Amino acid sequence: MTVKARQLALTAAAIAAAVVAVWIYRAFDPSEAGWFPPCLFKAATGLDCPGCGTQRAFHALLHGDLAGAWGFNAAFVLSLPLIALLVALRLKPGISPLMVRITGSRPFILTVFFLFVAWTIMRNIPILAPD
Amino acid sequence: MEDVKYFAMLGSQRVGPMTLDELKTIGLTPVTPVWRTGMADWAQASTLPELASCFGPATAPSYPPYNSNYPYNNQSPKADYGSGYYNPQESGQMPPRPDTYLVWSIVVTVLCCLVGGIVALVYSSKVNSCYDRGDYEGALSASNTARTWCIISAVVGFVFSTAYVGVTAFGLLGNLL
Repeated sequence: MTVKARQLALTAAAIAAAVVAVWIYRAFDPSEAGWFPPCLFKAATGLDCPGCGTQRAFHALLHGDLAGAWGFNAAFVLSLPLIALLVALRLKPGISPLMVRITGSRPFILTVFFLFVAWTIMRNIPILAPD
Repeated sequence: MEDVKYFAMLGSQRVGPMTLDELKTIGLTPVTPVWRTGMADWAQASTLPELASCFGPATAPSYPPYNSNYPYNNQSPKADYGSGYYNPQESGQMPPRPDTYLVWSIVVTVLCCLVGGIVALVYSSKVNSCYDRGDYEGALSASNTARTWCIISAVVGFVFSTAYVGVTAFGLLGNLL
């Protein structure tokens, strides 16, 4: 397969997976259903990982409940526009070479890293936890 | 000639640095993207004079340069901001920038229940700073490590989740019978 054909196949597979995921997470509530996979990290340590609550937050978002999603996993909600921006810059670097350079820089990525670390610590300390 | 280093793209895998003799042994095709020190950009193997003997009579070198995967290659000179910003790749000293895998690092951090994405972010942040210092090997190694952590995180998360759903579904089925 050529590089181009493989990229097309991967893109098609990714879109198909996304459509299925959206359908599942819209139709079923992870808080109620009981068969959604729990977090491996949480099961092992009892602590919330940076991704804990993403499934419930995704379900809430698909039902237009932004506040609910924020309560389940604020970092997930905040990362969505960032991911959209990064993907856009990746597909069309020409739209802003300045942004391509900023988002690839060490200070920017380290900031993302420290925010995730701070978020993980914060959500595990009852007084600091947002909800 | 001794100092000329070659790199090749086999699928999505970057191979190198290699000598010319090593390069000839890795199974090049005329359209394999190849880069050597001194070149401004990747080019198809058939367009390099020293590889012409590998492919027999001249094949038409009419393909566009291989650069669709490298956002930094698409920067036009006037898009460069900041005075004196030095882009080592444009002066032909280094291969194109390795990927930071920033998107994948963030995605696995918020999707998978492992902290692998966090580790990937640390390595992701090193890619361009190494590259801008002229340390291509360091940049490539950081890029590959970031990718490895993303893959570990994604695979473990996916396998665990799939197995959990599978086992739970099996249990529910058992209850029904």
